[in-house]
Amino acid sequence: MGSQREIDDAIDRAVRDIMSVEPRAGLRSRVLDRLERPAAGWFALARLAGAAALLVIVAIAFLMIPPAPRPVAPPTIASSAPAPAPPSVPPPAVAPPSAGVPADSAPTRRVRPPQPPRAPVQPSRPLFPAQGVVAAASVAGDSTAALETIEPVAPLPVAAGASPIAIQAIQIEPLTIERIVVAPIPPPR
Amino acid sequence: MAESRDCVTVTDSSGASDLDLVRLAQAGDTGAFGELVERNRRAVFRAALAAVGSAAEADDVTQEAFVTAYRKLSGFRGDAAFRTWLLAITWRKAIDRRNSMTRWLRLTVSQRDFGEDTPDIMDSAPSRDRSPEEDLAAAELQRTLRRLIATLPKKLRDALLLAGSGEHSYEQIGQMLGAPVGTVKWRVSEARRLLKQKLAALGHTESVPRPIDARSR
Repeated sequence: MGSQREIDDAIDRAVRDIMSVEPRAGLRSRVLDRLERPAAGWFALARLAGAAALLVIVAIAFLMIPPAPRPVAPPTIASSAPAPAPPSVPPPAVAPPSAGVPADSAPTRRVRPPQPPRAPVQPSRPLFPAQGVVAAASVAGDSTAALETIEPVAPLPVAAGASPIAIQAIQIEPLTIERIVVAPIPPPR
Repeated sequence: MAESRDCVTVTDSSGASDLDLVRLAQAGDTGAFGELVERNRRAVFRAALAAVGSAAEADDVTQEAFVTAYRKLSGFRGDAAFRTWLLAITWRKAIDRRNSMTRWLRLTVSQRDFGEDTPDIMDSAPSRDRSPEEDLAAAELQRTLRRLIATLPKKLRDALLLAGSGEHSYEQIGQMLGAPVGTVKWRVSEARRLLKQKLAALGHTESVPRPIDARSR
């Protein structure tokens, strides 16, 4: 190796080797495929952006809604008698405001009827699986004495001379509101 | 060429000129554009290959160049040859790819470039009038040259590879590189001189030609 001609030929051959790579087969169909779906990339991008926006909206809404208060279960009271019916207490009568009192000065208050006590919540299944096992065992081998029966309480007879309790009607008088007099304060001397 | 009036299909476009096909493609005939792809695929691919250096990257660039050309086809007025216009688009795409960070990262991970895509010894056909030792030396020289070409300055390497591809005229190369034809020729010559100089430094030859006065190039 040494002549300029050989070196030139070697350079030509090296360049030819580098550039003699053929394009992959099916270039035409690949190009035409891409031409037929030109907006696919934009459509996918738009869908992605929409999903992201929806996710942000849901997250904001979730953060803005305060958590609902947890219902507090009343204490469980074991009783064999059925729960008494709630007493029907009529709402207290509210006298209409008098003519001398402006209507907007009367405090408005919503009166809620008394709610019946909530029935105790019984779990649909035992909290602990051992509970069921113990209960089944106690039923199977019940050697204890029968429980003491509860007899109903007989009401006492009312005496003959007793007078019925007279309940007086509740009277609500309107409030008298004195007028406020605003007087200037004299300057200190 | 049988052509439908509504310019939807082209039954035979083999005899049509590039400009005819361009006009059909401008009217929405993708088949005509497909024929343009077929005619120019090798020139486009090799231009991309000269810039990016790997066949896979060049393939991507080629597809992008054709798609871009189709979308910009309404702006093509026929002042220049379609191939020249297409090659200019290709070269811009290829240079963008070469300059991109992705490209740089890929290069750092895998060195599949001119210098590393070394051909096997069997790639160079054995010559009947050379001994096996001479064939081995020639193959070694080819590998060395590929590595040296990869180390050339980009401007010189681009000109050398484009000129050596056999697909592009000096005028087309000048259009792609944005340089006069004389400058392109000088860059090719300078690239060869540098290669010989580097080969001499490696002991492949004793005589190295003196550099040509580059002046303002």
